[in-house]
Amino acid sequence: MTRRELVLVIGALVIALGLSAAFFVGTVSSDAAAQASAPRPRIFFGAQATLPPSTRSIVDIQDRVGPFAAIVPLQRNMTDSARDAAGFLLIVIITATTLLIAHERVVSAYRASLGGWRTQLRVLLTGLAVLGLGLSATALAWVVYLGYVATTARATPFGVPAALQVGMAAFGVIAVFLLVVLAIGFSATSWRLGDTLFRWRALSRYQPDVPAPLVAVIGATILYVLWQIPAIGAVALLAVVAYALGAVVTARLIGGGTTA
Amino acid sequence: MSDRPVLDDLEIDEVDLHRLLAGAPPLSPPIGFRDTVMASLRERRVAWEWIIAALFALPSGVFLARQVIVHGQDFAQAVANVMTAASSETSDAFFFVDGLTVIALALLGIACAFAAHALLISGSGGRTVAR
Repeated sequence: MTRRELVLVIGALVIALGLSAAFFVGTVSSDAAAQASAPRPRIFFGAQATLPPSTRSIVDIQDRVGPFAAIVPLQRNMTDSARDAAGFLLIVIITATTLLIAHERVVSAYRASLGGWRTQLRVLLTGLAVLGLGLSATALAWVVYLGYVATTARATPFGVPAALQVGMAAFGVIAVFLLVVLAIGFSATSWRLGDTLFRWRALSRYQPDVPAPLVAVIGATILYVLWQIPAIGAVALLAVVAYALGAVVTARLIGGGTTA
Repeated sequence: MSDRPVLDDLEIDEVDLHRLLAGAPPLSPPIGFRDTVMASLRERRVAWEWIIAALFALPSGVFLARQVIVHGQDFAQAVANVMTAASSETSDAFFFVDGLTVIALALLGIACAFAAHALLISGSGGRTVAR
């Protein structure tokens, strides 16, 4: 095992130990047997807008967890903030999984977007064009399909609901395919953004040491943070979707990439 | 005894070993020997990835298993409520999830990503040599 791998393993061990302690404290604090009133559910979905409050105070939990008393406030904060971080964790996992499962496609899209600002603009405009094409074709397809259903299927029993369900199922399949393409493009986009970040003079010396998946995750983090900004977020989301689509289409159809 | 000449530049205590090795009849390596050697050379060490995957998967897996065992009815109730809301006309919805469960799920996913990467890397070395 090299020194770098050893450092990674030790880092993972520290994270695992810290989270194990947090899990233990969380388990003790949610122990239903020792609570006087009805415990707060671990997961809830419904019309009810209020939940039973957490009946345990921090001091009460600290008395029960012994040597882990110091991390009880940290665990409370972690529990509250992790709920909001679910979207970010999903983005990280999607980026990592796409890099792992569809590595060749991501590399291909990544290489298709290599170049100066003209190349970047071409990729972005290609993506916008494909996005517009897709939206237009989808809208027209629904117009044609709904017209067909309204004129042809209404004469048969259960014809209209059955035809609509078939149409929605087909649309769902297309949407899943589109999501896969977007995931590949998003990973390549994140990778490109991370690369651009590490070209800055202050960070360039670390570039050879940082593995590509970590660069992509850093890029994805920047994009996720950008999406959270109220006014800019929607524009950034549209730009990222267009760029991601453009990178995949450029690599696949125009041949700007490689099949490495 | 081998008919190969004794090398002149050998030290006295190296002569016996040389004679022993030179006495072994020359044999061609078995079929697949080269591929095996090259595979071991090309094989990337993935032990550290397995260790990280185990470190991440173990606590989160235990925590999630306990959540399901102890609070399983909460999950079942939430799924039932989702089904009910999907077929009702209510416009109100409220969602709550324990943050540690979210962390445990994410950690399990990251552990699985490490394990899958280790599996793919260790598997691809053999395919490359056999091609």
